[in-house]
Amino acid sequence: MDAFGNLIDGFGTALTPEFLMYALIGAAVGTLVGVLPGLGPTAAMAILIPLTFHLPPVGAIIMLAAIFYGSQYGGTITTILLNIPGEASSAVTVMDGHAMAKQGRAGAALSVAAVGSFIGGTVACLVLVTVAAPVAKLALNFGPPEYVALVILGLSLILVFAGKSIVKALIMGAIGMLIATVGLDPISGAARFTFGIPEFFDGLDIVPVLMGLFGISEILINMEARLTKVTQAKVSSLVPSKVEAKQASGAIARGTGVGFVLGMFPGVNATIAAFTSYIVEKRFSKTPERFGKGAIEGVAGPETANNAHANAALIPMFTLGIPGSPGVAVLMTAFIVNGLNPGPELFTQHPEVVWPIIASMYIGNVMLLVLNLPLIGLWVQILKIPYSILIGVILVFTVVGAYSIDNSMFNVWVMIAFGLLGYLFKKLELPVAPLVLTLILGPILEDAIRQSMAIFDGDVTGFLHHPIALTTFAITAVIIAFTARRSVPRSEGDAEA
Amino acid sequence: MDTVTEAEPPPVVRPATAATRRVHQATAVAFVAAAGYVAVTAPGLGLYDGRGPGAGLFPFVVGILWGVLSVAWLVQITTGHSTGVEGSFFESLQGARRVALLAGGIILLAIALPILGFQLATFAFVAAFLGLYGRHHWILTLAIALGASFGLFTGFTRLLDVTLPVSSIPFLTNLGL
Repeated sequence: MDAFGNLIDGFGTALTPEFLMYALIGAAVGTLVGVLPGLGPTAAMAILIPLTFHLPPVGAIIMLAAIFYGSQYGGTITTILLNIPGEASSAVTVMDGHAMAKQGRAGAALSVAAVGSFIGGTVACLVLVTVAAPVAKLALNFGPPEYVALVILGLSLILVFAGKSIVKALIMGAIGMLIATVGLDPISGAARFTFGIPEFFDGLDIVPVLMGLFGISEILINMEARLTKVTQAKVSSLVPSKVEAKQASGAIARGTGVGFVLGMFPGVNATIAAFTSYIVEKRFSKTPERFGKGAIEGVAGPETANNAHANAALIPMFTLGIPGSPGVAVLMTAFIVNGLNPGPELFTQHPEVVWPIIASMYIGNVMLLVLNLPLIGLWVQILKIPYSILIGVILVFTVVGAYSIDNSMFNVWVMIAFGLLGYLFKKLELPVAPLVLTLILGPILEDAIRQSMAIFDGDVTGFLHHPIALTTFAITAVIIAFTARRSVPRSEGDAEA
Repeated sequence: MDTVTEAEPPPVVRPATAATRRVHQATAVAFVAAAGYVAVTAPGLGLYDGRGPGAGLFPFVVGILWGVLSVAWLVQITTGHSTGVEGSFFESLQGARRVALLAGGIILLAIALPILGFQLATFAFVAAFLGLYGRHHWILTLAIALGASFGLFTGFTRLLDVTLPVSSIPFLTNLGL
């Protein structure tokens, strides 16, 4: 059956009342997460993963995926009305979105952002259907040596995630790899770094680790920067003028392209896609001087791009099993804890899972459009809930989530420990994304290396007889060289700091 | 105009205090020590066997890499070439107190959960948090604390079939807590 036939079958499952409900809950929670400053989609997904253990795997992932792409919609509301980017990827929208709100055009800005987000999300989803299955089919020819090369390619993303310091990023990558080795070695049965604690024998569960690193640490950081009160703009008519609609339509088309193309490159986050779209719009405009003062293209382009990116970013995970961002890594964890391994075999071994999830993304985007336009007033009301109450309730949910993983306090303590560590890492500007990447990819790499060496009888030159692996190594070398070259002026900057 | 919440504007970047630099250095030293422990103990797990790499090879290599990188970071901090070493570690004393209050509260909650049970421990945590940090009216605090403890317990255990901790004290257990 071709991809579109599979997709239609997927719709058959995704449109059942049960899965529609999961998509709706995910879309609503995603919008809420986007609306609430201080709680990101990655933290929200990490906190909620354990609570999805009692759901069917497809329903759980449909819900978490909807939170992931839904948060991009919600982030726009606070950006435009309050001058607070609900998500980092909405930060660029502040410039023109809030300027439009101050001019009494908040409604037009919100509706254009929602429609652009919908178009960007659904078009990206359509291309995902076309591209994902053939790429996965190609990757089915991969054996352990090819996986070694592929995972090393994935690990080269650490350099992309590096931020201001490559040394710090590599340190965090090493820590993630070592955390992943805790437990009984699957081949020899040797206990690695268990310190005689029985709970360590099965290794650390990744879910409480992520809940701590993202959820608890984010709450602690927000506690330190106490929240204050500000004013909010009123929502005007949601219908843009004819001129605004014309200006926005081109920006939406370009934003879709920019977001989708950048989304397919692991390591390029939605914020980069949104900023790139903004730059493209300013360059395309005949009146660039309007930008920053309420240009509707400055809202339509970036908001479309970040949603197209959110959907396209799932392609490397679905097809190759490589998470391109921390958010996708958490989503990938949801697959793993449900007994599903993202990668090429997902399409052949579990088509009954993957296609309903992809189909649900179309449905989720429609739901988000409905949730975000007529219900804008409701989301704004939610913002009036004092932050202290939200933190208190969220903390209780995190404890419930960690405990319910296996009904033991051990995972609650793991979550707390990694929450405190995550807080320390953030204060020291040690990036968490490389740690998460290696925590997930480390065990895959170690297994693939050991299997490859067994195949090669211990001869490392065996890799030379695998052209796909060699080509992938070459691509990795190019990425590393490019990133290292780009980082030279950055290092000089470091020296001045 | 309605009022809602927003984060304070970012503080102005200041030169690193001695205490901030020491925290960074202490972390780097702790990393070097931990990496050294990994590199020393990993060979005991077996670096190589007849079938290929042993259980210790991967941690051994990564441990050495971690150690070398941590030394490089320590040198960068000490020579003033590291990023992120600026200002005070805590932006304000009040901010540090709030973090300590919450972190301590979460730890106390985790200690109390198996002793008092979810309902009592969570009620006490939420009530104390909202009262001390949020400074809400006591009726609102009581209502939210009841909902977040007894309400959530009922919802999770009865509707979602999720097991939550109950008290280990017989008297409280008999009361359904």
